[in-house]
Amino acid sequence: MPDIAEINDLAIANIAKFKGRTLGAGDKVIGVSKASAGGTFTNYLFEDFNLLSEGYNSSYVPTNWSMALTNVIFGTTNPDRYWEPESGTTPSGTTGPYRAHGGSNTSGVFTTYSNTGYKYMYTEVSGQYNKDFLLRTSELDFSNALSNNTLKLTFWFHMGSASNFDEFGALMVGTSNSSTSAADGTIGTGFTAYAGTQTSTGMSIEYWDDDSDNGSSTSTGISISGRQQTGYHNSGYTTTASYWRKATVDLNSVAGESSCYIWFFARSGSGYRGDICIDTVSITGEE
Amino acid sequence: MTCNTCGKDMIEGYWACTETDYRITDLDGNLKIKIEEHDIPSDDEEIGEKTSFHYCECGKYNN
Repeated sequence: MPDIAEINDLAIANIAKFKGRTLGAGDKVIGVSKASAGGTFTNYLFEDFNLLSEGYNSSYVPTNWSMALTNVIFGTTNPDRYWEPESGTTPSGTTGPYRAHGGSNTSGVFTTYSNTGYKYMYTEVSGQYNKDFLLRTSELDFSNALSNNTLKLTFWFHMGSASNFDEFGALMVGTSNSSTSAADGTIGTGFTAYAGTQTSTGMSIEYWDDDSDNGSSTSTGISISGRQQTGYHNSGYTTTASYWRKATVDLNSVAGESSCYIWFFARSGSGYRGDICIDTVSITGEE
Repeated sequence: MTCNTCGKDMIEGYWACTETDYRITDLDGNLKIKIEEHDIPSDDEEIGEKTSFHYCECGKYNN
């Protein structure tokens, strides 16, 4: 939108709205507004992990993503473990989803593809208790994104286990302009020191918190902590208790930034029934 | 419950974690499908755990 100085220098005849018209004595221009503010939605990121191979190695990430163990969570703290691409169930019998998320932005149902089909990313916590996992997106350019609260990160998560156990740690999201550090810095909100089983800062996450599978009930916080779904892969695919749930992060604070990275930080809990899983990660916003 | 792949009835068994791998067994503990090997410490609480599960003799278990 032009500023007042530009308006002052603009001949009235060259403003499209007034072109061909003549102001008469006493006529006043009482307002100037941009014809259309934003309105163009842009997909900055979409990742369903489906093209990844399964395995435990830092290279099992989408192109230009990273989970190097030399990356920094906060201060000088590095992660302990890699996230892993997985299809079907996670190996442990009483945690993890039935399959990958189905890809819909409105439902947490499972994909209909076979056990060797679609993928998701998860933290294998068997034998790996109270460990840190850090996953980073590719570099994102939000320089044309409007600061009108339309820039959103959406992802689907599964943190389910048998109902009589809660051995989960926490899942958090951070932003930074460094490709090697998720520490709180100059843009958005990254991570700082631990506070219990999670870091003490991070982006605010709004997430579905019940089995309705329609977002009618949500919670908001800097982490998704503890067991969420009471269903897990043995529960099958017909119960919403084991469905994936949706999480949304408002990225308005990084709109206008030309270099931004999104970080997914997970910390395992005290037991093996605590696999933390994410799928169908997307970022959209208005330009 | 029938198998989505072959249409036969699913069989009741266990999803089990042994010292070397995750596996599906029948109700007598006989190996039916090996899921994958692991390197979990032998004294971990998960070793020896098992939970009820249904599988198909065609080899499918996640349908």
